Amino acid sequence: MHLRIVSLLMPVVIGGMVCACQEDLEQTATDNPILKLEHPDYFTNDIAMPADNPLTEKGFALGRMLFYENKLSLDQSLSCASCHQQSKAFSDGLQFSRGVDGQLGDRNAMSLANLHWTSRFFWDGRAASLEDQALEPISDPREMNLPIEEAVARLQADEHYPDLFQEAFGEELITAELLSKALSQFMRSLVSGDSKFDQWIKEEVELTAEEQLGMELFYTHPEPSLQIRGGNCGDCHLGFLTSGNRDDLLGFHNNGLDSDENLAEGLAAVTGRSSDKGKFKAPTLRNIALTAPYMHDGRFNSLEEVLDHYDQHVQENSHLDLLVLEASNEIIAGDPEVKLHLSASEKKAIIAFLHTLTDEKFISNPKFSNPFNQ
Amino acid sequence: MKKIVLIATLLGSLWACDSNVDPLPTSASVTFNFTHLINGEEFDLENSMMELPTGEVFTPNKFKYYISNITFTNTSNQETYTLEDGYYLIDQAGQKSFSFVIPTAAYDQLSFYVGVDQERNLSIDQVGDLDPSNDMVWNWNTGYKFLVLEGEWQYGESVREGLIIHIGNNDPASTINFREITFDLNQAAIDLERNSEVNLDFEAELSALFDAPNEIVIHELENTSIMGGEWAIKVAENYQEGMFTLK
Repeated sequence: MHLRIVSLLMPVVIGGMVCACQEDLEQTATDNPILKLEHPDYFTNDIAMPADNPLTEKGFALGRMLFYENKLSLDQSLSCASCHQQSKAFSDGLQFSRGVDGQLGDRNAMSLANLHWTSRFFWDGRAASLEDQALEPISDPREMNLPIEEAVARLQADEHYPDLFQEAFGEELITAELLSKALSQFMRSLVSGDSKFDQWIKEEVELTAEEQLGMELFYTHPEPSLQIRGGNCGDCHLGFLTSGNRDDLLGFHNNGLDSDENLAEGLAAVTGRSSDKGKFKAPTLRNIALTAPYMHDGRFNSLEEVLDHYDQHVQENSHLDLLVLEASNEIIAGDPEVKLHLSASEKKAIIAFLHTLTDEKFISNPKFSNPFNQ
Repeated sequence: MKKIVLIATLLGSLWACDSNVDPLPTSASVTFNFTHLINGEEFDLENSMMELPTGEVFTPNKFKYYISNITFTNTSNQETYTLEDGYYLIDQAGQKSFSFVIPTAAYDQLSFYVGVDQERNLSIDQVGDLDPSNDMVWNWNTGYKFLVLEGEWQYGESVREGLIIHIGNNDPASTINFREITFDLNQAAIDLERNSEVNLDFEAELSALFDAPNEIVIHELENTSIMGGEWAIKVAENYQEGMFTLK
């Protein structure tokens, strides 16, 4: 632990030095300064911004307005924020979200946090970048149901937006591309890194014994022959970020929600590969206590139900993830069922750890709130 | 102390931008290339099947490992050069080569380790390809997985089963699975004294993980997740002994 802390402080020292030089350069170069994405040092720090969409002060501010802009729905009743509410870590608490005219979707609205550290967007991974993702909910008939050309025309006709696009991108002619870029800048800025878990990493707080046990179980793959008990969560929800693997499609998993006959297409709808059937994005678990219901189809109402699924109700199917298939805390000879065999208190401990991922500052940060309410 | 060295390095590199100091005239750019084989044939993840020496049919879907502490030695005068902070993740689904620069000399021996040394293994520094949020991070206290092989196997009429091999150190105090592998550069006709660009082509043979010195019979294992204990040590001995060859 001591080693960890020594090493933790060093990037701060170095980061401070590098920053100081950069700031001088940027202030003289532009009146729309490049923003540095603030994040804990232990989040992967070598991920570049898209070269054609750097994070800027004006781009972020514009993106924030657009995120909360009701004009981007057909009847001007909904914005992105209708289904991605800050108080719920940018989710909506519903199994399926309702679009314009009460249209019902078929996916659970994903929480938005730490999107810079993930690849592929939507539960089935159909968008390769945040920029690709950003426009789809606007035009989707089950969501905001507004053709993109109409969205762009509305913004162009607005009293303020042409100037704001000019300030952010140097162009007064609003395009779909610039709309997606601005929205992406706002979403990319939604960094959640100040939970109790983060404070524990920085040695600012202690975890309770139960939270500590839950954390150890979370990150451990069980190995009953060595008496190592594990909850097997960290195999897919990786490291400090608790997000899926960032490498292209490797963060998508078949977690045994259904048997072969009921298996949803998932990633297979995007790749056309039968082996991807039933795979969905492993989302970040940061703020997970705020983002019920759970899974791509919101089938579980509580974390207890989620833990019960992984513990007792995994459905074996042809493409069940091997790390789920080969995970049990008990060796039971000849037992064909895939079960983790956690105890009730172990499940409770994992849930206690999951609650330490709640970031109160993130859900109350005024920088991310509705700018039209001020 | 570590802090001072790092800051000094950083300042050094900032100054370097302003000056016109030439790089060492006697340096060589060295590239390591890794090819992964199954029974002598290059393979694709999820599309290749291998028959293991003990009769199981095995389909790999993940194969990756860390290479670190790369050291060149001139055995006649014991001159050595160890690459600082060289931690490289080799992944059948991703990076399979990397390059770095070394001072030239009459090295006749090369060694590297599979895995991560104790100091880095217990820290969260993002050095080279080390990243505390990548999928090589193991359970909380133990550091990184050194080598990962995951795949499906069948034996005769058996149902689909998984083989999960995650080798790291068996516990935080141990370095038992951090294994050094040594190559004879003369034998491979690699001259690092006269060349400024050198390619080293390595082959890693997957079947060797199950073969020698320890025979691993998957269908006889009580548990086909190998993540520690004596079986992990056996796998580590196998990757140290027979897996890599320098062409």
